[in-house]
Amino acid sequence: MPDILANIIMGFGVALTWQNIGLCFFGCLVGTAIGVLPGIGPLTTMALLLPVTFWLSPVGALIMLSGVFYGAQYGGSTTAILVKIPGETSSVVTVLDGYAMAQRGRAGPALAIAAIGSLFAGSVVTLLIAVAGPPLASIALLFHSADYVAVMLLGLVSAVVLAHGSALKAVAMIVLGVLLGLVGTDVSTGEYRLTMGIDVLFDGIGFVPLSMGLFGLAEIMVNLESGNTAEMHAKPVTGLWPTLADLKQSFAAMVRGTAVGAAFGILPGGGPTIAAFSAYSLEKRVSRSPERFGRGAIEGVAAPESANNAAAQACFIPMLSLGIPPNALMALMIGAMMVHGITPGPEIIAKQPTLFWGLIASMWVGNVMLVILNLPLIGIWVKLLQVPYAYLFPSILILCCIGTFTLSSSSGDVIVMTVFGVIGYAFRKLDCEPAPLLLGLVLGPMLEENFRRAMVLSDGDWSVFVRRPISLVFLLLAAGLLAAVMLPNIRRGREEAFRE
Amino acid sequence: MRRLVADKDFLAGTLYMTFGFLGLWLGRGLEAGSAEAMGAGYFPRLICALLVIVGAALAALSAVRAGQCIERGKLRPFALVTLSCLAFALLLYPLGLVLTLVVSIVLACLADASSRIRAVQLILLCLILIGANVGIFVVGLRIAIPLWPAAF
Repeated sequence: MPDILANIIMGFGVALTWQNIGLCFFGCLVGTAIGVLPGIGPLTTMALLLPVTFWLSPVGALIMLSGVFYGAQYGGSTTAILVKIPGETSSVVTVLDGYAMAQRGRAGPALAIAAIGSLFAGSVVTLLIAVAGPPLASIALLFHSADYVAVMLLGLVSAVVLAHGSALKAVAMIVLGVLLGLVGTDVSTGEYRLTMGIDVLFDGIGFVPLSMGLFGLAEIMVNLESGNTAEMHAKPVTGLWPTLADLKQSFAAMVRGTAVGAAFGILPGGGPTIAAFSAYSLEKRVSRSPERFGRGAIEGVAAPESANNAAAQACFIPMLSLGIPPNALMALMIGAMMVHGITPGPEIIAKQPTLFWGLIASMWVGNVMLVILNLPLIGIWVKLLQVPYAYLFPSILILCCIGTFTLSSSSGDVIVMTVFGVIGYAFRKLDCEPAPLLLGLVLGPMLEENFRRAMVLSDGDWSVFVRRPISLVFLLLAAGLLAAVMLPNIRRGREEAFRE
Repeated sequence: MRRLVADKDFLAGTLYMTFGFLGLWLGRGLEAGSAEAMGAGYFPRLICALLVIVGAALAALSAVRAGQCIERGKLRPFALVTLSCLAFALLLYPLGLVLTLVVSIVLACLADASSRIRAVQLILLCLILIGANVGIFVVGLRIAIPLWPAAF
């Protein structure tokens, strides 16, 4: 325990330098802004900011990017409550009770509870990362390559289980991601693979052009097509502070929401959206008066808002301690680390203590900043909603092009991005959720390398995966999850959770 | 039959199978090797085969159960957004950043069928975006991008 304290103090030493405070603030500010704007999400924004991080220190880069991620969770709830439009998918359930509260003139308390719940969840989970991260990493150091293969398979399987919509499509999307990850130079033999002789592809398909195309461009095309671009008007907010009764009523909901959120955040494939849904349905189930839900119950705001922020931060646990991203956003963070020459994995905490603890400390700093950004400054964000999409989307489009170009100063990457924009549009038309693809793209090369090494060490004996106990446990877990999702009543439950 | 061809799951399955076969064909020259000494082609073949199988399963299932049909898309936003990005990629070196941005922004604005954006607003948007991007990327981050056509 004193160790942790000393480490946290060291972390604050890193996070509280002027440069890092500035980056954290910038990240939170951008995160809130894009959280408020419905057309653009944290994934696109983080991809857009990746090129900028080349000029920062590795800690600074991660601090800024994670600020964008959890900042978006705060911003998303603002629009959900005020104008019934969730800025992010993770605040979809907040609409139900948040907007109902706003209709009854209680927008202020709803916003305040959302922010307080997020701050509470953020602080608790940050502590959890500090406590759970290092021991997890030391366990992970015992892993052999076969165990890594098994844990990655478990991650991919649960990504399928928790993905939106059809499970089969999610499987296909992950496999396609793994395949795209193989394009480029083979590390073991030095041969070019699947490049079609195009020289931009020799180093592999870039993470940034792919995600900007798949998410940024495709989103613009779909938004323009649906004509879903009108401006929104919100009523002015009066009376921000919740009453003591409000706080009392929502405290238990915050605690439960935080617990649910942390669990779904750690789970591979989980994340803020499913966490918020689950927290809301749990709250409704344990409530003594479930009929109030949907009509402005304050617990219905407190629980999902705590859960989505808790999940957004708990995702960092597997990413930092195992080097395995639990979702697409964390895959992007891993991409950012690799840009700086840091190999993600269990060694990070021991070898780069300032990076790990600095990032953790910055989350506390960021959460406090976000409460200030979101409560007193709420008027500014409401104004931001009135920026017409006609100005917004050309700006996003240009930023995608120029951001991709700066990666390697080549127009080739911009063309790769455009191609993935077209593919992303096709996926959207076919109801295929592209986020699992990103997970496959990042895990693909790691999976191949460990698979190859495991097979070399075992002389081509496939039974190595069941003979090693660690690997066996992970494989059994994966098989159990897969079997569970096939069971009809669980499948129905999963569909319900997404529909509600 | 026509229902099946327009079915979202059927089309998605076919698309995945196409990617799988494309991968197999592109990687046809790579040596597979054996499990204990994998060549460059072993893992890609495994993955492509898996993709083809999953895609086929998706397409086959859609034939059995009734799914949703794909909605008609609009060509204009799709084509013009694509064109705007391609213009950026292809014009940047001959024309320089400033003129390329003008072309890309104008193409992008044309993609929005519902917009009633006026010429003055368009010029203003161009000026702001050119100013911001030149400021951030060329002046601030010192990225080597030509600003004007090479001849000047």
